[in-house]
Amino acid sequence: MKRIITGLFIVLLAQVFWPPGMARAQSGLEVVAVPAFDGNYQPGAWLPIHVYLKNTGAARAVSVAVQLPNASFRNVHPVDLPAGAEKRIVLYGAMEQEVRSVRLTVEADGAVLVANELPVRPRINERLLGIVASADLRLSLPRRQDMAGEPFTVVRLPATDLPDRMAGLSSLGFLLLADVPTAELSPAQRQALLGWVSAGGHLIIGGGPTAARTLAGLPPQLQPATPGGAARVPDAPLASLAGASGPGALPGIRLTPAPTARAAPEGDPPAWVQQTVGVGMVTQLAFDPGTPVLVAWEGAPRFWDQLLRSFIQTSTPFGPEPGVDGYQENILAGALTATPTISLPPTQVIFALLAVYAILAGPGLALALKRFDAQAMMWLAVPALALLTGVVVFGMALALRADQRVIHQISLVEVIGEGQARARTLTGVLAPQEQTFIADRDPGALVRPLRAAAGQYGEVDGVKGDLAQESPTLSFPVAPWRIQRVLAEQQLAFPGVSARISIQNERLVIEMENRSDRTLHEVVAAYGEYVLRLGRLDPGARVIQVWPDTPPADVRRGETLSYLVLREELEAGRGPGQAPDRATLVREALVSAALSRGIISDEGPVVLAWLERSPLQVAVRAPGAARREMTLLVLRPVFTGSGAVSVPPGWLRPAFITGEQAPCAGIEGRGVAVVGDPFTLALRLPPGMGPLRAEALTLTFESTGRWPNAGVATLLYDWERRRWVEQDFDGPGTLRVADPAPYLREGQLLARFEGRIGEARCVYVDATLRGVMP
Amino acid sequence: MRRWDLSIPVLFKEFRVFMRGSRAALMLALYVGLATIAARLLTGAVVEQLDRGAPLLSAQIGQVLFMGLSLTLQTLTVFLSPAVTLNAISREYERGTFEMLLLTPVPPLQFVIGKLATGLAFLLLLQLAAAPVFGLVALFGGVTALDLARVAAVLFATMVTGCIFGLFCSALTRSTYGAALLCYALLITLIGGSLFAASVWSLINAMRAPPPAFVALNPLSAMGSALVTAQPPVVSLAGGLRPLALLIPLTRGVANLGDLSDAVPLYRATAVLYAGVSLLLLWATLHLALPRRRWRLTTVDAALALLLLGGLVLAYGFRGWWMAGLGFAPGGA
Repeated sequence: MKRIITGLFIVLLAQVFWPPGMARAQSGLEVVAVPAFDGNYQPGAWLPIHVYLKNTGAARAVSVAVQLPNASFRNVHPVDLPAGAEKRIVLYGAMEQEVRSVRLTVEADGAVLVANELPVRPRINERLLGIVASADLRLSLPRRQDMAGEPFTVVRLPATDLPDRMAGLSSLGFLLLADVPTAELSPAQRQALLGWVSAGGHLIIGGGPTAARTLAGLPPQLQPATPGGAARVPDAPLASLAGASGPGALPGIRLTPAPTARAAPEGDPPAWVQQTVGVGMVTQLAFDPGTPVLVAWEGAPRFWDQLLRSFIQTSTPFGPEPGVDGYQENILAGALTATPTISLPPTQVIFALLAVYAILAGPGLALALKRFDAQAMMWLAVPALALLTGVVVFGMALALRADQRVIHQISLVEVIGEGQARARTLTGVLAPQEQTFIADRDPGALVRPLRAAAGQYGEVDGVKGDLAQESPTLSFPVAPWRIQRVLAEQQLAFPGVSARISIQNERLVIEMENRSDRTLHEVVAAYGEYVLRLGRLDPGARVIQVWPDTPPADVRRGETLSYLVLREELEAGRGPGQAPDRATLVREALVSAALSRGIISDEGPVVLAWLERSPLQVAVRAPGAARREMTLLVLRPVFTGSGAVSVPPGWLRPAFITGEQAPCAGIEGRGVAVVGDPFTLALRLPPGMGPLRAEALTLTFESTGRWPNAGVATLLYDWERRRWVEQDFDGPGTLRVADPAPYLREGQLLARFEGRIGEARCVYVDATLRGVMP
Repeated sequence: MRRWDLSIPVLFKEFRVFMRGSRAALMLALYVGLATIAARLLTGAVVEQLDRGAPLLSAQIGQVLFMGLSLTLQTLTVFLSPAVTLNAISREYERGTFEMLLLTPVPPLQFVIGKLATGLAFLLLLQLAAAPVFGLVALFGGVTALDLARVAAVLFATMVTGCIFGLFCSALTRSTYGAALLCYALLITLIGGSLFAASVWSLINAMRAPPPAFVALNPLSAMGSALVTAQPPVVSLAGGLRPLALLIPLTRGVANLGDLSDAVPLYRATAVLYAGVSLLLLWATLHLALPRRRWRLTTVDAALALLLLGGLVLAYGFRGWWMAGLGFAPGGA
């Protein structure tokens, strides 16, 4: 009994002095591993693990590996450890499963030197909020038990611990910076922040007197407003969002929204300003989020619950996640099944040989033997000739046989600003035998397998084995006849390519400039139902094209841009008895992945271009294999013009992103479903045109159902007077709005229909707008 | 004893005669040329579509070629096999030389067997001559030696039966024109009629797969079933079964191309049935070839009866193997 008690005591002591995450020196190696965000992570995202290594033994090269239970791959970081060296590395674990622990090992020469289980916490369908604040910032977030879903999990981290890769932030859905000297952040940390937001993160910047300090070091895209002097911020927007009485005016600052940003709907000065960046969002608060009045306000939990929401959220096998990465990767993974055409062996020589043989074996031999009156020798001559030809043909066939391996690489490059781009490259490999491939890649790229997915032509699996980080090469085994794929992602420098929309002679023009050393092929600008083909842009070239003032007549409303961009190629393969060209299908998938969000969203005009080579290469070493590489560059043009402008029809279009109105499909394409009485219709200009002051506005309403000939009142919302104004309109048809300026604010127009409008069922609206950009 | 003497000089004479004239040379050129043209057309058609639709692997192109070539050769064999013996007996009657032949020491059995052996040898020569075309398949791969052996066996069974059938028609009608008419009318009826009957059965039975017995005697269906098992590699691409689409019209009730696990080896049943039919036709031909006292039983009949009996015993012993082709027993490889 005494021995048992002693043993238990020793075990207890070991637990106290040797906590999880720390491995004692073994073979002269000391290892401490700490997962970021206290181990909280979003399944499907990356989790940085900070690893401290101290080598008290001889110099050695080790591999630090992290593996999820039962996973078929490991993320591995090779490290050189001279004698007496101390190193800190960040190992990124691809959290492709919902697990509560990961196994971290340090290995050398195939032997495990140190092994450790690190506890982690999956946060499925939760809002993981990171807080970086110089003081102990307290927020009155809703309690987990008070919420029906999407509870908050808060992790606090010092500014120095902010990851310097966007992938390192991918587990976070929200990040609050309050009173943080962002100027002290490293350039890599700033770029990581920009990349993370553009990929779907929601950055909240605290206001109050320290707002300027917090904003100072952030990239311009992450600064939705310019901070001004101190001001009392009205609580109306807070009260409106919380659905409760407000906390009273808050001490804060005056915010001046950037042209692309939108201020909080009520109150002056605005309580916050929001700006979308890619598929993410930045919210600049005018007030300090830790203001005691706000913390004490009973409506605060509801307020934060409503404010801290993702701009776009898509569903994944693990549940909803901010951004569209999972959705995009699913589309792209499916496209990998449209494999490139296999390498074909030369057949002409063999066919020529067979043609000669056919003549020889028949009339040739017969005529030759007839000369000697020995036709009966045909019984021997023909088999002999057949045997000889057969040996030659089989021999040639075996010698000329083509490589049956197929390498398929598709890459999506999204320009996020500041000369930066986010590149994701999916590489699919198909081989007839089990073999290990080696690929050259940028050491900075993070590589992970993708979940098994189905495409139009079959299924693809993720690769297995050790996937190295910070290494110039990557090796992975491939099973026979299975397309196996690997995803590399990286935020990288991509300077020199820019697009802007400006105003010339009251018309919108798009201007594209290529100062990079790459040729941009088949450049198109697209928005709504418009597709402008800008052609090829060589390095140093610039192109300007006026945006058409009428949409194409044969295009239905709401037609997908991927179809419109590749319309001719797709139509060519959809005739009776024809199959689509697989390369076109891959292009369609790339465009679709770049633009579709799983929901109807409207991020404004976009420019697409095809690159010959991806800036993020995963060059698989397989000479002779059939290859196809396709890279799509995506960038959003910025608005820079001022002056009078005629906005093309279709630019002021129904907004679905808020979820307040639902789409419907009719003979003319996508409309807005008439739901409820009154029925409110929201129209929006693309981001960047918010400051437009309307001078002339014509709205045309059509419907799939019969528009009631009586009993329908049409109203427009007057933003200045903050009230609905009834219009003299006997629909359907055209409504010319007199003095339209008050009805359009920050690019948004609200129309309301009261009465029997439900009979119209699905409403189509076209707007012709003329105005002045300040 | 001379009646049973299958002496080689008779065969040698037949072999020498067969190669005289241009017919044999033309048939050789036609056979090999058509096989080459079929291979070229198939390759062209496949290559033209390689960029479109479901991806094809090299092995699958090999299978398309293999299946297309095999079906082409089988079709040619079906129609050429009777053709090489169609005039064997009728020509002697038409020339009035048959009575003279009976006066020679060559017995009718030796005469008939000689004609049959010559025809078969020529058909084998055709197959051998066409073999180099299959070298193209090696360029793409996807076919095993077992697949080749299976196809060769079906071709051989078709050749033997076709030759005997041609002889039978020749002996029955004693006119080359009549024999050709009868032979090809029956052949077309057998091939088209069996597929049509299978389709009708399917139509009136809620589109269920018809019993394989409908197409058991159809030589093209037999070849189709022999090719079904030449499966593409198990790939993660949906286009894997695409080459088998070539066989859809021929394998009604034999193979469900969506799920090949229940495909029946019809060719086994066809081979056994062909063996039985061939023996019966040979027996009838031996009697029909005689100008008089045709149906008098001889020791040849006894020998053939014994052969048939032996065949029946073997068929019974291996009933599980070949009746699987009719869907009566679980199949095997």
